[in-house]
Amino acid sequence: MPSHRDTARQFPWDRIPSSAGFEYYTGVAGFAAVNWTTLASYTVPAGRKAAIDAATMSVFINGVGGLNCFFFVRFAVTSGGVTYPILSDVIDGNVFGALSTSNVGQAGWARAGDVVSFDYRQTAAGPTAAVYAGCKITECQE
Amino acid sequence: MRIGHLQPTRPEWFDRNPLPVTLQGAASVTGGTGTVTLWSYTVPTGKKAYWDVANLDLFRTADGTPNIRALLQIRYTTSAVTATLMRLDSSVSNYGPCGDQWIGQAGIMVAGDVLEATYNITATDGTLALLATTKMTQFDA
Repeated sequence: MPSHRDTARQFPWDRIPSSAGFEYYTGVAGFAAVNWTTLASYTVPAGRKAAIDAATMSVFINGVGGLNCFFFVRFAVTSGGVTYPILSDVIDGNVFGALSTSNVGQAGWARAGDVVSFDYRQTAAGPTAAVYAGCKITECQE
Repeated sequence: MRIGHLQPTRPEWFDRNPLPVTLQGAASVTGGTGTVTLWSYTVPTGKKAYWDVANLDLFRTADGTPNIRALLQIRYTTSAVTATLMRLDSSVSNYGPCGDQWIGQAGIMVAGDVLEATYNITATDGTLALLATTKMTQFDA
């Protein structure tokens, strides 16, 4: 009795893979204190699963003045109404030039209807900042 | 009696003529560069590629203007999306390391997908040494 099933194209990479993902860049001038706000997102289509292959993000203080505050960025997956952060970064200050960058590969799977988002949060009315986000996602058949 | 595994009718992806592909680019850069491509890779027809690992490294070899950004990145272009997938972003202006970044297991690419490493140094003075490396496994689609 065989203990292994036939592996003919069972691997996700062989189930009609297609690329997805998104890129986001902006200066977020004028933000006062804000709680988590989604700046860009991707929703897994019906009948598909999605591998979150790679993600990168950076946050850069490109202004001066305002209050000394914290700038947060993150990637997250929201599934079943619960948000699961997968990559986070923070800088603080009100001085031009402060920046931080984070990268990650293979951050797991998302199901049909799940949302992959890039989110921003600022704790006070500080200087302007620029944020960047990019992610690579591979969809396949469920 | 022999006990073993059935021979699959179609082997797993890593059994289908896997071929390591490594790309590495290095440069010593002075001044404002605009966007420059260090290397580029396109998945050939009839193949897929698994992006195994990548590393970016940036080192300032001569002082430059304070708070001017140096950006080293890997970008990904497909028929559906274009995005930067990995960044090393620095505003370090004094001699010394500006940082390293690594990622691993960054997923599948299909025929026609393009991966490229680029840099853009905004400063018009000082020099930087930069290095971008990646390894993929290319296999039969």
